[in-house]
Amino acid sequence: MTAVTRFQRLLVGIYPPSFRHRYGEELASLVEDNGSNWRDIVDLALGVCRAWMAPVFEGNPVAQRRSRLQATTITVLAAWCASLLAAAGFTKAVDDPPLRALHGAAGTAYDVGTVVVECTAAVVLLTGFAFWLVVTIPAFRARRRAVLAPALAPAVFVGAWLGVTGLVALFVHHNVPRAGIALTWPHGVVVLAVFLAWMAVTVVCVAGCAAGAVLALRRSQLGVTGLAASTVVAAGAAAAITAQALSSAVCLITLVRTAGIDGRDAVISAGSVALFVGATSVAAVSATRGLGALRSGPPAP
Amino acid sequence: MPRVADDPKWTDPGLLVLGSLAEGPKHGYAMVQDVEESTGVRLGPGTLYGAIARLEARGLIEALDGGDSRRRPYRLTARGVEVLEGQLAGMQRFAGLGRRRLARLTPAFGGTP
Repeated sequence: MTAVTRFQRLLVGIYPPSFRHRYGEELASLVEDNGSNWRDIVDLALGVCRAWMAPVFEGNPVAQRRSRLQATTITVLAAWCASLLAAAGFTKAVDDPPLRALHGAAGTAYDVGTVVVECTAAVVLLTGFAFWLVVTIPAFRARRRAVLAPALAPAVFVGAWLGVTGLVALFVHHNVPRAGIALTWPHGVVVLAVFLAWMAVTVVCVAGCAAGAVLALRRSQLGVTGLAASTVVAAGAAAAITAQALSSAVCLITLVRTAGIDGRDAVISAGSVALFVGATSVAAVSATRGLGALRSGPPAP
Repeated sequence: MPRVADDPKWTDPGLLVLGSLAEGPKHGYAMVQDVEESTGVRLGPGTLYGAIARLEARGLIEALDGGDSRRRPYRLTARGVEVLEGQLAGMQRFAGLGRRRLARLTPAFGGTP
């Protein structure tokens, strides 16, 4: 198998699940019939983007509406997870340790963003727990391992993250003085490596929690009524992510204009704002489509 | 027939697919070959299945049951025939109008009226 063929198969594999379920085999067959060529790779890549931007759902109108609501819930959940990572990066850049210039307009914007992050996290986690019970209890009664395994995965990831974070905290307590540490070999570099490894574990755990929740939701075949409720929460989360993106952007712009942030922190916080903006765009588009399906769709069966 | 905003335009791969299926049911690879032979346009796999998905969601084409799931044939629905006829009629009117206007314009540039 050539590298081009492998790449073509990879592209077919990253189409939206609903598209892959309906057309995946045919698409893979057509790609094989066409043979390996770079023109098809470009066409497939554009097709993947179009399919994610404007997904088409199969089945009757009720099934299409259900798929739309499920897609909105899953997409906004993924965007919210990305926004959590962006919030962590932004906080690290401007508030760990706190910048001297983090007051006035910059401080207010940062505080607003922090409150929004915390309130949204509380609402999403409480709602997520309620949905977790709705999905898990029937699956437990019916012994549906296909649902139970991904539903329990977030607990495993959170446990692993808490364990790793505890070990890292112990390491920092014994190896890093309060005044901070210089990046010198070997002590400073080891501390940096531990911090980067902890960040990587955090990213993996957040992605694992999201993937488990998404798989459990998809396999549980939740009804339109439940998905309608999750879509409303998702729309609120999308609005909150937008507020976070705006507040972090205002904070960063104010800090840069007052020269209150150095180059490294500016790069980290700009990357975080870019991640916020990406998450906001995806979440807002998906939430708008989900709310549209709620308003215009047929009544729930 | 009322026009729908997202009806396939004449430049749209969707119209090429509808035109190909007007000959009879075809699977994806056969559509690609037919469109390329008849129009010179080569539809890539992503473009083709994006068009098929949109047309099927709008009820303009439908998959035929049975056979190889990797080479599932599609055919036009009654609504698809209606939309294709409407598009072709519009194109024919536009082509006729354009030709008549060009015929009046061409002498001004020294051509044959």
